Amino acid sequence: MHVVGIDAGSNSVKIVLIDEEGRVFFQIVRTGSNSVKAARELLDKVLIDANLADCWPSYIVSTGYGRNYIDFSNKSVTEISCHAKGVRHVIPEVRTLIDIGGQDNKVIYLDAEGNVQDFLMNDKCAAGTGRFLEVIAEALNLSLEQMGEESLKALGEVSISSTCTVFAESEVVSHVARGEKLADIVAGIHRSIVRRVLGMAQRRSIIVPLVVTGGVGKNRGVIQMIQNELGFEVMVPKEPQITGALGAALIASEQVITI
Amino acid sequence: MASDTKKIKKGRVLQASNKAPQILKDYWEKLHKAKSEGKKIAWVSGNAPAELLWAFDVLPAYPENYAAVLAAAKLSGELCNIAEKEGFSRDLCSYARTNLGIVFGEKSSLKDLPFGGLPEPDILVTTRIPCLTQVKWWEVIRDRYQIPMFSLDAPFSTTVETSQSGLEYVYEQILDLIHFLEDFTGRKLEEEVFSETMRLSDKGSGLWNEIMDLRANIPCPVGSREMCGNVFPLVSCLGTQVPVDFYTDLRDELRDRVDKGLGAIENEQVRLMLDNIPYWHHLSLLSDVEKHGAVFVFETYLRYVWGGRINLQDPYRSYAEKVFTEVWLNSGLDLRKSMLRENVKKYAIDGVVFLSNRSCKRFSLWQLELKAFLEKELDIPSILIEGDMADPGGYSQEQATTRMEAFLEMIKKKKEKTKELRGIAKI
Repeated sequence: MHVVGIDAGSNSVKIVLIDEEGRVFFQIVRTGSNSVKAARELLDKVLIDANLADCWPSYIVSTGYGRNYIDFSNKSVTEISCHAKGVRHVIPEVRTLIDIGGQDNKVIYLDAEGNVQDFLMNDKCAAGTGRFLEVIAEALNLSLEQMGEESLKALGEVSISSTCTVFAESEVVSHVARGEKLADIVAGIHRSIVRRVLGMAQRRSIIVPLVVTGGVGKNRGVIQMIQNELGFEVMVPKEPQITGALGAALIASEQVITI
Repeated sequence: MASDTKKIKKGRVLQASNKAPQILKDYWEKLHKAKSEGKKIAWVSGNAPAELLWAFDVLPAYPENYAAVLAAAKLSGELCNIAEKEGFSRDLCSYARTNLGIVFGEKSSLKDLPFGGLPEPDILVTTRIPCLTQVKWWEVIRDRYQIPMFSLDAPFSTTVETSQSGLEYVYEQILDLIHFLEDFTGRKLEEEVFSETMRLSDKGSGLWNEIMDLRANIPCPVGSREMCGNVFPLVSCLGTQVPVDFYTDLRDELRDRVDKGLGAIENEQVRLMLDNIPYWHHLSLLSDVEKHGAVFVFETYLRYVWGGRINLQDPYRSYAEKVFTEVWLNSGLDLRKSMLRENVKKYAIDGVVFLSNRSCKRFSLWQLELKAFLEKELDIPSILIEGDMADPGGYSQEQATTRMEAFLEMIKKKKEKTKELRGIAKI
């Protein structure tokens, strides 16, 4: 008996499978223009990985932006509940969770028992999200992984004043033309994201442990900057992009537990 | 008389609600007929003392309410664009922009509007009670049509006890308004007519408050979306027989449902409170929760904007008092906290949804303070959903729905835990 969680984001689809022995398998793919198709094909891949090809899961929970479009899932649960569940599984003491996703940010505040007490979602502007980094990385001819490493070399920081991703890109191009150091420019870009994310997260007191998830969680430069700004350690799960799908899979497993 | 076997409209639970669309239609027909017969039409702001117009046989039309109708019909966005092309700021209230899109729009494009549009005004009555934008907006209309305008000023309420000087100030202006209407119509206001108008207004409000009270029952007999559809007579016709008849039927049917233990939904698990003006272009936000076992049982918009009572022993002063007190928009933070506290308890609320309405800053004031207050003092969770009552731009229904669903998941989990803990405590 195996269960599956599908996080159908607008940027990428993440699938987690938990098999009978409790082993976790996962896959990530860009959503493209058809999230249902992407999810269905990805599911096949994960089943093969887990040696369960042609063995339909006992229960599938879908989450994320496209959760209600996944017609082959049994239940849809919002990403707030799924991220909270997934992170708690990996870091049980978590109290505050910031997910910096492909196109939106979420902050989830958990009480001492690990239940969601409050949450915030920024879904109005992609300027503080992964999309912002993608646009800039492309403009600077760097991969997303290189962005993080590059910013750690910075000795200074170029201030980026544009609040809009599109105009920030133009601003970055002009900084490059002026001969500013690449590391300093990337650091400035990271500062923009961090300012936006923390501006939102600090509307309530941030109680530790603070965990950051989402693809941007893999960017060491951003994480370092958040830690420096807050003055305490930030934890990042080993696979920060799949916590939503993991939470969905865990919820799926609860649906099939029989007494 | 409609037959008892008349089918209840989809998404509704009350037969009485079937009458609401007809009341709206009849009202507009009356307006257009009156205009064609040379009778006088007033454009009136919400919370203005509209009863007095009925007493003078001047028919009130409500640009704000009409903007809500247009938003629900998905027509307000384009009208807002027309207003913006005229130079009105995008940051201006969307009710104003929607109406100004009509005022400044090409006549030819307006004939297909619902109910044949709003007949042009002969006189204007406005008030600062909901906000100052009302007054400035009415001034634009006044300048456009070159017609007389009356503006009622009133102080902000910060205490439960009505300020006596505030009351005198508003009372004097009620008398001024009467003189203004006497001059305009060339008629004196007869005492019996005034008394009867006040009596009918109070009766309508009394029935409305009974209806609100009946919704405190568990399970709640009727949800939010249906009641938002039933509020028009309260907004527009207080002082006439129309709301009395309609709300009597509604109240009787609700009493019956309560006696039988019938809820708006079969399995009521979560009771919600709504703060602010509904996003008229996304009314399903209020009814979709019902699929998840949740129901909105109380709305600040339905309870604290209209429906104030009048003491018929002292009608002039009491009328003045009702006009500007117990109006959420005109209430200070402490007053809002006390109204919130009272109703969270009375309606057994599990969670509050604050619509952070860009177009109505007066309504949206202090929502963060109230959120913190609810959590800290009453242990009630809440969320904010940003949007606009009549402008669908920059708003995603999907995102608002996601927030609502996440909120419901959160509340249900909390209730489960509470039950568990109670179970453990019993052992």
